[in-house]
Amino acid sequence: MILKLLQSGDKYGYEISKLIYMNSNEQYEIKEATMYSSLKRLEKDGCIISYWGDATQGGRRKYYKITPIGEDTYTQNKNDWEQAKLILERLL
Amino acid sequence: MIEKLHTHVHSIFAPYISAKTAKELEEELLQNLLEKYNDHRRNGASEQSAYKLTVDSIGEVSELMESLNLQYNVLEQAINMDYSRHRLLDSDFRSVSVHDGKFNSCDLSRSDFSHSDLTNSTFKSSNLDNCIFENANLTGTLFKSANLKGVTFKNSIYNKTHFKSCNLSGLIFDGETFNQTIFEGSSLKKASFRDATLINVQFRMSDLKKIDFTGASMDKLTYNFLHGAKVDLSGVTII
Repeated sequence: MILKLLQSGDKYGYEISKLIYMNSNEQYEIKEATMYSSLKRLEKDGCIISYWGDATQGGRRKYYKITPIGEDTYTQNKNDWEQAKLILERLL
Repeated sequence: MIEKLHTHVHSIFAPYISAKTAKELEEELLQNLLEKYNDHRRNGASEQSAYKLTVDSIGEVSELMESLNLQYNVLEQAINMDYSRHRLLDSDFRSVSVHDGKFNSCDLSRSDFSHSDLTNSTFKSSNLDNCIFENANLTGTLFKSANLKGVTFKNSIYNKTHFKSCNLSGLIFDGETFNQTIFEGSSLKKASFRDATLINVQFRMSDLKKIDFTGASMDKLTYNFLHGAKVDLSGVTII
């Protein structure tokens, strides 16, 4: 989900969690701890990079940007999901 | 409420404050939570409700800490500092090594020290109300004039641990093992030491009324001291 959201441009933490909440019809709210844990793992795997933005609205924001490795990972994950979905649809 | 949010987030990161990654994550998380809080307020939530929704959205603090990926020695270095006179309510000090840590005149209410190594640390005039010390290493640790009301001690190491001028009334030390521990000028009224093992433990000038040693084992020196203080030792085994 995070990689997909970052394909449309760099985003900061709250922006990502807000978009996940809104795009899921307000059904899915990702906890901050889970999100930062995911962001750190993606960064460690080279899928995203981070940088600090300027001090705006009373504080600095840390932005995340998808890398080519992240793009490939997203494509792979999406294909895996489509495959799993197909199998489940046949089984159910 | 904004200040309260600052304090809450800071208390999460306090044990790791000298680690750069922790500082950065604290800044990042706080910035995002402030924005979230303001969104809730704009959507009509009361200050109290917006604060609760924001804090609840953090989720599992342990998951947050894992994301820091701190090396043990870095964490140990980060923790080895003086926390005196800090307000660190609800802090998470689990599984950290705090050799010679100074927690003097500190408010540590409800903090969790489970599995921590607190060797030679000092808690002088600190508020430890409802703190948890499970599986903690309290070797050489000094508790002096500290508020220990509602504290949970379980499976901890009490080797030369010193409780001085503390109120330990009603606390439960069942099944614990004490070695050269000193209880000095402390109230141990109705404290429970059922099935505990006590080796060379001193109870200098302490209030021992209605203390319970049922099923406890102790060496002769400790036994003689307690016997002299007219403590009921009917269910005690001398080892």
